[in-house]
Amino acid sequence: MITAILIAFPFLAALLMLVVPASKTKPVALAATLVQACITAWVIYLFDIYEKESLLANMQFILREEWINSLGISFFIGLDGISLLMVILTNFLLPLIVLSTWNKEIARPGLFYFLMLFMQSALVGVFVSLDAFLYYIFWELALIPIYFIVLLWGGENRIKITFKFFIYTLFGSLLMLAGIIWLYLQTSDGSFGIDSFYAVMLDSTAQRWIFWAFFIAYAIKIPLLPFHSWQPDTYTTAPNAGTMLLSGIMLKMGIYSILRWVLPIVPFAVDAYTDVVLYMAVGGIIYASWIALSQNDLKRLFAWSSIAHVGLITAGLFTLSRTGFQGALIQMIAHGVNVVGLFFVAEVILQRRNTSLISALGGIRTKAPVFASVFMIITFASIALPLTNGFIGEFLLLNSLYEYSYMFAAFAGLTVIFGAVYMLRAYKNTMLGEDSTEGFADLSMSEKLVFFPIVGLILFFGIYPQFIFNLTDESVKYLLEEIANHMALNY
Amino acid sequence: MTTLVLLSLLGFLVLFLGAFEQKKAILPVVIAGLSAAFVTNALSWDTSQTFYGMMRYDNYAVSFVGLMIFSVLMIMLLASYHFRNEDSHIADIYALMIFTLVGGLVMVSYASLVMLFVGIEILSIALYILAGSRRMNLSSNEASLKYFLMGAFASGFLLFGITLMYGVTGSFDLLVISDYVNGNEELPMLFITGVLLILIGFSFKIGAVPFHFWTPDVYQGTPTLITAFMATVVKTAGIAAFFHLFDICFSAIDGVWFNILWVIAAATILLGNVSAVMQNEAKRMLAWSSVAHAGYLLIPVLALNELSASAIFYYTAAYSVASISAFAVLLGISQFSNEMPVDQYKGLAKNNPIMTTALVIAMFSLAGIPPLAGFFGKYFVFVTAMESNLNIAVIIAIAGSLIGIYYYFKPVIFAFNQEVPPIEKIKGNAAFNFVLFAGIIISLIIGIFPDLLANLPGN
Repeated sequence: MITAILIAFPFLAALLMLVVPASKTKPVALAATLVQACITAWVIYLFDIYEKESLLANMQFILREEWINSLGISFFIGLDGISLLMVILTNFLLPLIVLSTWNKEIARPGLFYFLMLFMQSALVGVFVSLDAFLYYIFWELALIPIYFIVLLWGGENRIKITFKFFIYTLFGSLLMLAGIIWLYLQTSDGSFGIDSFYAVMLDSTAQRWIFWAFFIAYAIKIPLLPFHSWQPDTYTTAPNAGTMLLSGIMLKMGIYSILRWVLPIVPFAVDAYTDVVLYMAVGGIIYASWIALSQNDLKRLFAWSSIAHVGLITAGLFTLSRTGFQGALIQMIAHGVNVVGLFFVAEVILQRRNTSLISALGGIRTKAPVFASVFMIITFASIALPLTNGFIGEFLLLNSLYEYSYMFAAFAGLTVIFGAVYMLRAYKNTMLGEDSTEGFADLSMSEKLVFFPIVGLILFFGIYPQFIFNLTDESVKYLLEEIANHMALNY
Repeated sequence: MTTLVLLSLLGFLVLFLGAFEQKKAILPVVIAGLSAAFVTNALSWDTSQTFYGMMRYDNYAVSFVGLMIFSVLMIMLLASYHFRNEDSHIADIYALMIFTLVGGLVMVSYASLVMLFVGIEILSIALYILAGSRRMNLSSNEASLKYFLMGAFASGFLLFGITLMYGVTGSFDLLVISDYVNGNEELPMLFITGVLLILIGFSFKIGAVPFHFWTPDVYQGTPTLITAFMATVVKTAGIAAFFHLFDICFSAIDGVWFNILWVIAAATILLGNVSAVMQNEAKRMLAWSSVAHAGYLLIPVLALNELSASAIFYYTAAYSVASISAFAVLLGISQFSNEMPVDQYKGLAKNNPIMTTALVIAMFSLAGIPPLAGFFGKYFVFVTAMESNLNIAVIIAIAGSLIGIYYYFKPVIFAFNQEVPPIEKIKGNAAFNFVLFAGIIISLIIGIFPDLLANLPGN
C-alpha cells in the first residue's frame, strides 16, 4: 500500500498545482516534495534489509491488483533494495530541484510544477513496477512531462531539439513494447508479471532479438555511444530544472531497467553481447571525455562528462559480477547527486553573469568564496577523489572491469584522467584567476539550501557507502543467482 | 431490428419537422431519438437474432452500432454549434446523417451480400449529398462529385464481386458461401476473382492505398462537420463490414488474399503517415492520418484470429473519440473559414485551456501515447498481429507510428507557441464544450480501463 502512496502522492500534489494561485505554487510544490521525501524516509525505516524469502529475494510492500484482466495486466508494484535505492534518489533529489528554481521567475508556474510532480510520480512508478505493461506505461508517462518542460521553458531551438529527443526515445520505447508483447505471448500463464517473465525460457535466437529490442530503448535513454546525439543538445536547451531531472534521475531509468528487465530475462544474449556493449560503453567513455575536453560551455561540458560517467556504469553492469552491480548502484546515486550539483553550479553562474561560457568567466572565487568551495567539492566528487561519493563507485566499477578484461579496464580508466583534466580546467578557468568583470554575489539562502545537502550527501556516501551495500546486497545476490540459474538450465 | 426501425422513423420525423419549419424542435428530437436508439440497441445485447437470413443482430453488430450512434450523437452536438447562425436546410443535413447511420447499421449486421450492398448504398448516397451540402462552395461541390464518382466505382467493383460469388455458389447467404469455401478443395477462378473484386471495393471505401487518392481532396472540400462524420462513422462501418465478411466467409482461403492485403496494409500505413507529414492544411493532414489509421485497422483483418474483432472495435472506438475531438477543436478555431492551415493553431493555449487540453489529448491519443485510448488501440492491434506471427507488419506499424508523431505534435507545438499574439478566447455553446469534455474524459477512461470495451464484440 505504501508503495502505491509513493506513486499517488506526487500525482495528487501535481493536480493540486493546477488550482493553487500562481504566487503560492513554489512553496506548495516544495512542501509536497518534502512530504514525499518524509514518506520515503519512513519507507526506509520500515524496510527489512534481511528479508530474503519474498518474491525476488527481498521484494516488500507488494501490491497486486487486477487491472486489465483480459490481457493478464495487473497493477503490480513492490520495493526491493534496488528499487528503493532508486526511489530514494528520486524523492530526495526532487526537493532540491524544486528549491533550485526558487529565485527564478517562471512563466505559468502552476503548469511547470504540475509537470515536475507528475514526472516524479511516473519516475517512482517506473522504479516500483513489477508488471511489464505497467512499467511500460510509467516509462512513457515519464517522457511526456519532460517533453513539455523542455518545449515550453527551454532555450534556443527547443522545438527541433525536443522533437529529436522525443522521436529518439519513443523509437526505443516502441521496440521495447514489441519485445514486451512478444515475451508476454511466451509466458506460460499469460501474465505480464515479473515472476512470469523471469520464468520464461527462451532459445538463444529469441534471446538475441529480445535483447536488442529492450537494449536499444535503454541505450537511447542512458545514452550509450551511437545513440547519444540527442543528449548534449537537450541538456543544454532544457531549463535547468529539466536538465537536472533528465540527468539526475531519468537516465537512471535506463540503467535500472537493464538490471531489472534485461539481465535476468535474456542472460544468454547478455553473455553473447557483453563485448559489443563494452565496446559501446568504453568507446563512449573515451569519445565523450575527448569532446568534453574541448567544450567551452559549462552546461555542454557537464552533459558530455555525464555520457562518460554513465558509460562506465553500464560497462560495470555487463561484467555480471557482484562488484560490478554494487559499483553501478553506488555510482548511480553518486552521479545523480553530483550532476544535479554541477548543473546548479552552471545555473547560478548563468543567473549572475548571463553566460555559461568558460572563456567569459574567471576569478569568481574572490567574490564568492562559499560558492567556490561548494563547486570545488562537487568537482572533486565528480572526478572521484577518495572520501567523496564518486570514488567508491568508480573504484568498484573499474575493479569489476579489470576482472573481466584488463584492456577494457585500462581504457575505461582513462575517464579518471580525462575527467580530472576537463573538470579541473573548468574550475580553474571559472573560479580562479583575475576577475575583470563586475561583482558576483555569493550564494543566497535558497541556493545554500540546495548546495549544502548535496555536499552533505557527497561526503556521507563517500565515507559511508555501506548504506547502499546493505540496502541492495540481497537483491544483487538474488539477481546474480537468477542469472546463473537461467544459464545453467538453458545451456 | 427495433433500432433500425427507430432510426429510419427518426430520419423521416426530422425531415417533416424541417418541412413544417419547426427548427427549434429538431435538435432535441434528434438527441432524444438517438439516445432512445442507443438504449434499444443496448437492449439487444446477447439476444443475437437473425431476420429472414438477411440480417444477424449479434453482439458484434450491437457493439459497432452502439459506437456509431455515439459518434453521430457527438457530431450532432457539434452541429448545433456549427449551424448556430444558419437556418437553411439544417433538417436535411440532420436527416441525411441519420440515414447514413441506418446504412452503417445494415453494414455491420448483414447476413447476406445483398444486404451488404444495400447498406453501403444507403450510407454512400446520403454521404454524397452531405459532402456537397455547402452548395455555394466550389470545393464542396468538387468534393461531392469526386466522392460520388469514386464511390460509384467502388460500388461497381463490389457488386461485380458479389455477382460472381452468386454465380459460383448460387446464394447471397454468408453461411452458404462459407460452407462452399470450406467444402471445396479447388475453388473456381471465378470465385477467386470475386473475392479480389470485393477486396478492392472495400479498399476504396475505407480509403486504403492504392485506392485512397480521393480521400485528401474529399476531406478537404467537404464541410468540416461532415469530414468528422466520414472519418469516424463511415470508417467504422467500412472496416467492420470488411472484417465481418472475411471472418465468416474467406478465412479458410487466406492464400488468395493474404499477400495482397498485406501489401495494401503496409503501403497504407507508410504512405498515409509520410504524406500527412508533408501537409500544411489541417484537414488534409487529418485526411492522410485517417488513411494511415485505415492501414493499422487492416492488420487485425490480416491476422484474422480470435482477437481481431475486439482489436478492431477498440481501435475504431479510440480513433473515433479522438478524431471527433480533433475536428471539434478545428471547427472552433476556423469558425466558418475554408482555409485551415496548420499554423492556425498558433497561440491557442493562452486563452483556451479546455480546447488546448482537448487538442493535446486528441493528438496524443491519435499518435498512440500511453495511457490514452489510442495507445491501447495500437497495442491491441500489435498483440493481435503477433499472435498470428505478423512480426514484420508490427515493425512497419511501429515505423508508421513514429512518423505519425511528427504531424500529430505539430498542432500541439503550435498551440503553445508564444511568439504570435495569442488567439482570443473562443466562445463555444454548452454542446460544444460538452463534446470537448467528453472527448477528454472518454479518451482517458477507456485508456486507463480498456477492459470496459475490449471484449464487447465477442469472438
